[in-house]
Amino acid sequence: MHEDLSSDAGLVRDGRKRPAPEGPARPLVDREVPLGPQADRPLAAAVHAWLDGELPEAAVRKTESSKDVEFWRALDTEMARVRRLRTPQHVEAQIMAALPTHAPAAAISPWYRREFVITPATALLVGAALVAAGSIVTALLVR
Amino acid sequence: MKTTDAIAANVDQDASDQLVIQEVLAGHRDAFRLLISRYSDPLYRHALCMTGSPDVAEDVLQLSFIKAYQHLSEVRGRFDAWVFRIVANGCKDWLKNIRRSHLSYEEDDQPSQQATPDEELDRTELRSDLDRALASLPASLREAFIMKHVEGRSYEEMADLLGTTVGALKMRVHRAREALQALLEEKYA
Repeated sequence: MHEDLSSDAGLVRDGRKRPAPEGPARPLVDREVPLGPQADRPLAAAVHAWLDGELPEAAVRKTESSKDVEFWRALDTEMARVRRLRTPQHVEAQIMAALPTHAPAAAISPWYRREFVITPATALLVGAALVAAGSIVTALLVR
Repeated sequence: MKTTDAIAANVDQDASDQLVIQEVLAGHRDAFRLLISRYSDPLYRHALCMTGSPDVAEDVLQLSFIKAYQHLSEVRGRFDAWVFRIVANGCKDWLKNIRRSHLSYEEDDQPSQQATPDEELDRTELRSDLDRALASLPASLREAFIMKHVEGRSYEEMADLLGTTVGALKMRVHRAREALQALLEEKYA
């Protein structure tokens, strides 16, 4: 939500509230579910439930919503045609022709994400190096 | 029982996709054709309904598969879900660009008149009106409606693919239905 910080938010200088301005409310631009064209009447919950597969058609036809059922049946017939549409045949060949000729590059992960493998020999070497470094530092400090 | 079978089929399909991906990564470029033929139809329908234009849908599909090929080594999880997100984002980017480029939304975001001959035979008046009504919906409502009613996906699957909640998607689909009915019922109810 964007706050209008320059606004006096309906307050006048003596602290009393100013009457709310008349006119349409400011549109909410950041709604998660934006409003589409507004329906004159909302669809009955039973129709939504039927369309969501939660109610059988017979249960909705008994109610006042039988007109809505007809409407959505007609629309579904149309959408069934869309469901049968296939990709035009030339598209697959077009895509294959447009692909780079070389194999896709292997993913390069940064060093800190790579697997860290330590063998017993490496562990011995690192241990010996640490002991040697420790004794050198101790000898220097003791002097 | 049906659900178990469907899950088993999905697992098989996913394992098979992974094998194909390994083939392609090993340098067998032609194996990618199998992934295209497996998934192009539902992806094409999604792009067609989102953009309203067969030409744009073909372009989005082509660019998406090229992108998928280039980044194939980055696939984590199911290939079909991953490539769907590429196509869905491609459609949304196209819709955003069309608005940004100062072209008239009414003129340019409408279904193309250049339909394929097969499609032309199939196109009814209701279909044309439905396409126009869909084009007038905000992209997120259109996307949710298409995924539910054209692609026949469950809300859970949609939530998984779009990274949002089932509640938000139900709300989008409900709003889309009411908006479409408001636009079309005078003529068809």
